[in-house]
Amino acid sequence: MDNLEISATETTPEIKFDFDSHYFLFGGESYPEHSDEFYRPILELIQKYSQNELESSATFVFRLTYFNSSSARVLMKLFELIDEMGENREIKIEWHYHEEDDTMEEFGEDFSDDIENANFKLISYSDD
Amino acid sequence: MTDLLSHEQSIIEQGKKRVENQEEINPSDYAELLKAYVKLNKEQNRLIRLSDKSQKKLSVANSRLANFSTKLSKYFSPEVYNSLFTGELDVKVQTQRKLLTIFFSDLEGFTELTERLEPEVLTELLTHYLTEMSKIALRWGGTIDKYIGDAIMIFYGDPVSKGEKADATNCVRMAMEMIDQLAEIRAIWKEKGLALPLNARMGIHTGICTVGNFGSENRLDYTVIGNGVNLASRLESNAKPNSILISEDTFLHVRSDINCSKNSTIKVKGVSYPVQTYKVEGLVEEQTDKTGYTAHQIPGLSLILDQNKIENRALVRKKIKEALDLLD
Repeated sequence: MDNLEISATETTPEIKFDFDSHYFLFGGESYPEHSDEFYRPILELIQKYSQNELESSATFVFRLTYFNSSSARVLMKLFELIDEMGENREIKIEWHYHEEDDTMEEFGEDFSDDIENANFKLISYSDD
Repeated sequence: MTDLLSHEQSIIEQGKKRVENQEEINPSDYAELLKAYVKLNKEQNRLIRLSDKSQKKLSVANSRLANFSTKLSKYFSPEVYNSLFTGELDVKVQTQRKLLTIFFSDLEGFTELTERLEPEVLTELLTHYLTEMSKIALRWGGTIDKYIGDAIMIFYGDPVSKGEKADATNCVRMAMEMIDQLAEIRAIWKEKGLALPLNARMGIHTGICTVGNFGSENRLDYTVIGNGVNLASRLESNAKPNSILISEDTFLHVRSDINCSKNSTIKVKGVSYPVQTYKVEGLVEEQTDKTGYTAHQIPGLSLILDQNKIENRALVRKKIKEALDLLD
């Protein structure tokens, strides 16, 4: 599969999918005007990956600073997909949040409750 | 995101059909329905939480912004502040040539005051003086350019203009009110024991200036530059204590509303010709209403007659007769 690299915009996050190293990154802010249009191809790509690469272990990194309601819904769907993937392979999820951002920390904790088949790690970072 | 909920949507559709057809629901279907319901319920709670958090963050950000704006507004003239907030004034190096009326004022003997007074008293005095003067400037729609110690620079005509004549007239009327207000400030500070009287000199000129944001991309100053600014400053330094000296350019704009007496000419650096000056005497309607007082300012004639101040009536008659003889 071809790697995917989407640069961040004011309203959409940076997205990097490196299929060779099975590394997936979502970073920045997410409040696209048409979240369906923006995320549909991305979700489809992950779905395709989950069907093709049945045994590879993968790492999903989230370093989000803000997301709106429709992006939250996408995230929930995404975690559902990732958790399903974890049923038959090793999956790591890293949820990075700024040490002063309680909201992102709480959402990370919240999302981690839904994860049964992957290793969900909350990681705080500072400005340094 | 209808796609994301397609599974739940199909369960709802199936459920509706079964209810319509009064079909029995088997336990496995019920379990699936319950699972979908639990999921939706969880999603709903999460989205409500997200919405509440965002609202709270927004409200905190709004209140911080409002607080910051209030603080920031004190550093700008309201006209400039409003133009910035409405987006009419761009925050970049940008200037334009415009006809403006520039005002300068300075306190006479302020340097001596700074040496005599304790810094705390001086700060209080200066704050009192500048606050009162600024209130008057804002009431008359002036753009306060800057305070330089006790000196004040104000201009009319940008970012908002009421027309050249109105701008010039409002500027002169502001200066007149400042002189009146200064008398009150002087009395208050005399009462407090200030030995030196507070006297201001004021100068006004109307002319083409360059106005806008000057400076670098990182540090901008919204101000006016040009010979007109120097001229207004020179008029101010030539004014007598508690009087307003204006240029001929300003006089021509205000003469129908404000009585002025012709004064000496002054030489200004950068201006090749001697500048005719006028001293502001008062409002036209105010003065004609007084008994024994008449004042007229028409091209070629400056006449102010105040019977209450006449000491030598015969001399006054002689001078008027001389003037009349000149006309014949």
